[in-house]
Amino acid sequence: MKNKAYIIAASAISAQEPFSRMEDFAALPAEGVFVPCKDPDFKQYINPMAGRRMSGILKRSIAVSKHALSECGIACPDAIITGTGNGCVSDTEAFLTKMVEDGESMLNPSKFICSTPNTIGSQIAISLGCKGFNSTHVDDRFAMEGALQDCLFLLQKGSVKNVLLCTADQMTEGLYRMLNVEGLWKGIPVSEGACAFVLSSSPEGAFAVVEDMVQTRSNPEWELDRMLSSNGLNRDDIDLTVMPEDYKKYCGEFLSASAFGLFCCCQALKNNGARRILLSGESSIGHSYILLSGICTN
Amino acid sequence: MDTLKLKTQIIDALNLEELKPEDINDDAPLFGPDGLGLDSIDALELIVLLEKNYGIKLTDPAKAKGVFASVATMASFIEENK
Repeated sequence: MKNKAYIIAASAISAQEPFSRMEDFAALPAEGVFVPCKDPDFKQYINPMAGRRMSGILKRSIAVSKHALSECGIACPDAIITGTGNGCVSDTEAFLTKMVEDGESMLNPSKFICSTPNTIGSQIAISLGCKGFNSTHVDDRFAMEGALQDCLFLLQKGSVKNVLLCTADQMTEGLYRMLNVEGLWKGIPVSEGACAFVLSSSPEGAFAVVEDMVQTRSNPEWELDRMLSSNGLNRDDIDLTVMPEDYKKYCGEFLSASAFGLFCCCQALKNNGARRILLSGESSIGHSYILLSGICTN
Repeated sequence: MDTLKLKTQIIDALNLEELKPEDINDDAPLFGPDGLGLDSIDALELIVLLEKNYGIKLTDPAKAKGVFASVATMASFIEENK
């Protein structure tokens, strides 16, 4: 059976204007500079009483998820799958700092609860009243790819008709300082962001298809050709290959930035008439390729 | 005891940014729809508040409901146990 899913909604909160389209994107300033997210008015998406414990990453994840769901008219998805590189860093920092300040004698309950990466998916579920399948992938730069693969498996299995895929990462002063010491910012600005996609097993309302994907720790060229071949394609059939540097100039560097790349691909397939796109990703441990195609909605 | 100080501590501990101490009635219920609408995580935060600010450990969970009924009951409990 094909490893395939239809995309019926895509949304992003990034250093660009909230929920803006690709044609309105502007390149971010110079490398190494931290450019924070431009957040929407969270009160439109989150009850203030519920939001009082939430850090930026949680608010962004809920807001972008609700924005994507409203785009396709789904109030509550059948499943929620989350991908994050570092999880809720600011809550983790606050929790650990408090614990040290208090001589490790007592926990700060709210920060402790919010510090785990799967808080993101849980808070989205609570906010939507979704009691369906819920899982979280924490995998450095491949968190989105792992979460997307999980979505494809779930839809392929047939136990759900649609899945909300949410990715999120945040930058804090402490994390920025630590990573800066390691000299990780090369040629691109540093940022943060959250993206959401609604995937469906049905083509109804879809504007793009995830035709296939592959993650590999070795022989990326061979794996790419194998994936294309298994779909009856070769490299000449790809209209556009999107590399990390193509979208990171708009969203900056953060671990789940490839989700913003997927968002850009969705925009290109939906509005700019591209037919077949290969989203290429890489990390220190491997490569990923996501094969996408457009659906004519006219 | 000074309930104004206690209300400020509650607002800080629970991130009730939209509230001022004078908005909280001493006898209004802290939990449930008729009062501040606090939840179980807030109850944990209040337990930490008592220990951290007043050195009082709430060791009997059965007492929590009565202690955290309102700002007034919390103040009385602090007076009796500090």
